[in-house]
Amino acid sequence: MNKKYIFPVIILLLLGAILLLIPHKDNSQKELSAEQLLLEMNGISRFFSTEKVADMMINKDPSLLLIDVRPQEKYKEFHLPGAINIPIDSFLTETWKPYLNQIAMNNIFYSNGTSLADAAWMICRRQNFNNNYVLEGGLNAWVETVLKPEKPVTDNPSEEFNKYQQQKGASIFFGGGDAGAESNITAPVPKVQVKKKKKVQGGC
Amino acid sequence: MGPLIAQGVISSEWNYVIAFMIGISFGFVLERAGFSSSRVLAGVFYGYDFTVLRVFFTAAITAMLGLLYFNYLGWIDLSLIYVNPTFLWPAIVGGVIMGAGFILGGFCPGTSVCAAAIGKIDAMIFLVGIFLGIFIFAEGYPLFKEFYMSSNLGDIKVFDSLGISEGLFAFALIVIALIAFIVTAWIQNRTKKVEY
Repeated sequence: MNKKYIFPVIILLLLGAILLLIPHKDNSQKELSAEQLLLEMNGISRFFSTEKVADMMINKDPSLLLIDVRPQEKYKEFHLPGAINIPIDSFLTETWKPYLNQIAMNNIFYSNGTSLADAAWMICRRQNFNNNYVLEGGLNAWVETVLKPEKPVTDNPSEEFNKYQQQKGASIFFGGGDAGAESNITAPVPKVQVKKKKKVQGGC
Repeated sequence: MGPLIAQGVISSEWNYVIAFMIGISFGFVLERAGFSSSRVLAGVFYGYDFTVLRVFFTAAITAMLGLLYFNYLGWIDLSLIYVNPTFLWPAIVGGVIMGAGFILGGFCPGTSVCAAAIGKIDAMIFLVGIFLGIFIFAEGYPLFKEFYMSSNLGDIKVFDSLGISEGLFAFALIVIALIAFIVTAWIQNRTKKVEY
């Protein structure tokens, strides 16, 4: 063997020998750090306003998936059109994981207020699931702004009236005026693709 | 922490720009290393030139050492690295077809593009053959599909299959590479020189 190769050969063998001794390490981040979670919790980027969601529903946005996180009885009493029910206590079961850990849809969680949906969002973020959001104000806000919008007083700016007109339109669309009744508009529950973790692809 | 694109450190738009630049650099290095010559490439089958084996084996062990040390230092998340799933029998048949094409044509797919880029006519004809093969495969896909998707072993790794640690496998591969370098140098010295 040529003498000039001796040094690289020793280096290679040495690097290989060190690998024999060092322990295996797993760097995969399966959970979100507490700092990151706090940062996201203080932000508002997880919220979808009721108007925005109503607009998406009217326009049949294919990426929208409404998820009712309340108990099943409450869901049966009333739920938003097209929403599926994943009670918060079954959030960690394998059955619902493909719905929560995916990249195809925008999941919007809702409950009566915001707290239960917020908790559901937090469980998902903790596990590093993306594309999950919260309906701002929950069903209470839905009733106030979409089903029974309040008419602005006369000295309000014209934008308020425009907004009111839109809300009224949405209210008619969703059969407003009777918040307790189930709307007759039903969207099929969309099929969700199971997320395959994105990896860097390569080849020769 | 890497991989930079999968972790969102580099956006997917830049992904293609970077891939383009790496591709150009890869082609340039292949050309400069003499891989645009089918005589160099075919030499490995006839025993007069083992540059291909040396270059690719060195690249493989360098990349392997880099990934394992990066992982140890916490710079990369190996679970996000794409591992080609193994379809055992289709891979064997595909390997035989590719090998036969390599011996007949004197190029592998990457080097043929490289050689065509510097104006080699045989490489251009080889490329026509590649596209013809792609066309036949695509048109005949319903016929091949069942076999093509068969014996899927998933994204397995050799050290998992052998039941040894990745460190031991890495060390063994380095030793095998070094032995291969010595043996091929010995064979090359005993084979009649080919001038090209």
